[in-house]
Amino acid sequence: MALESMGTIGNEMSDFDKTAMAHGYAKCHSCSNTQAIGEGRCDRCGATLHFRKDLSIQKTLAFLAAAIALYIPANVLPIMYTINLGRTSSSTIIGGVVTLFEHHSYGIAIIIFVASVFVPMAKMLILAYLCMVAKWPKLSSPNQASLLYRVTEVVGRWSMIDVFVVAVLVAMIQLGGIIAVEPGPAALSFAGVVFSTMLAAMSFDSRLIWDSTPRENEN
Amino acid sequence: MALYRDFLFDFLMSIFEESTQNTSGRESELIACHQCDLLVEVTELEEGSKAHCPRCSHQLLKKPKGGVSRPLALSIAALGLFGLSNAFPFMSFKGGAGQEQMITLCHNVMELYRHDSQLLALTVFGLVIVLPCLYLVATILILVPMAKGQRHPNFPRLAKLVFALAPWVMVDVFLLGILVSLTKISSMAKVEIGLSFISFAFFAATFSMVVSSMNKEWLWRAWERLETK
Repeated sequence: MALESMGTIGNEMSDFDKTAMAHGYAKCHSCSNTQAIGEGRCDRCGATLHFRKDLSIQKTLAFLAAAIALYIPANVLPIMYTINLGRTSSSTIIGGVVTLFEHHSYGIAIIIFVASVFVPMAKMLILAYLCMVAKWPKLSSPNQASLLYRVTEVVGRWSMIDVFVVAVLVAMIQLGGIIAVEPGPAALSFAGVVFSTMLAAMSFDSRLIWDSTPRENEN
Repeated sequence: MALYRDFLFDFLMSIFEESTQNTSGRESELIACHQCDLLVEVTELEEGSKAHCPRCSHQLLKKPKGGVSRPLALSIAALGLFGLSNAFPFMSFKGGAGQEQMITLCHNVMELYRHDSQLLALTVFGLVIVLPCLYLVATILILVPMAKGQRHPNFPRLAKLVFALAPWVMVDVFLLGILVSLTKISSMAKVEIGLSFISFAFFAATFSMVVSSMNKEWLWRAWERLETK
């Protein structure tokens, strides 16, 4: 039913020779049109054409540095304050997970732990690793690295969940001074972490993983 | 093993050759894989089928079932559901001392704004209210002329906007956030789910369907075809 993978151009060429770049073709970043690079403008939408994203690794590392810098206040400072009968208590992201565990809500504790602790950490480590792979291709097989990149791209936005939880709690729990919830500074810095890791993933060019492949002895 | 693989390959090729004979009028074109830059020749797809890169298995092209009318119908439905989820209280919340609190979606943002966290309010407002609205309106503006078979000059600008916005709309994440905070509160007080909450859940589901039915590669191609008509 599905007609797919119609074979590549030629059979006896090395991997790099089969790429669009080797043929002078570029894919437009804004309308996905594959075309000869010509004068550097897309025939279909007029955007500037380039073989690879400009300064991809530099930009990725810059956003990554921003994310790491924001990650520290996001974990050290409180994400929200609970005011109960005049007594204020604060909780950090990890503190919130621990409290949930103590209250035996294991399901939610796991969701929050995965979304706000595990995923951002894993994402930053993976992006740093991918930049290294682009530089030193012997570190990993391109298929593995691509899979890591795809997972990072899809999963990234779900980290926002903790910020939304704080937003909803602040709005809902305002009961005439008896109980109140106030947002803490970590909420905003955590949103910053999510944004910068998303931007880092977007500026990374996954084609760089495949570029340095004169790997004739694959399989 | 190698013999078996050759046999399998020949067998698959024979099926493929038959299908090309049946549909000899099909065009084929070159598509560069977005993920690994392999240049692949893809023949025109049937509705509802996908083409994948032979090297990295990334999706090259997907031709959705129902063409333009499916995302159009979904996005109109999503916009309606979004209006509904703003019109009624989201949920009500009863505290121990008899106070009752009812909130709507916009109320949520306003409350954050009142608590000196303007930036946070702006973030939530943007990700959950402004961007989805903008996305849906732009999508409808793109798809209505396409459904009529017209080539609209604003298509390139709007299509660029739509595909740039897609990863930043976090309606589904917000829904999960609400569910988590509901279970957190339920230990403190009684929470009742409002009509808007249900419509918001449906809105989030419909929205995800719109996003997945808008394939960039296919949509631009379809628009280009209209032009040459």
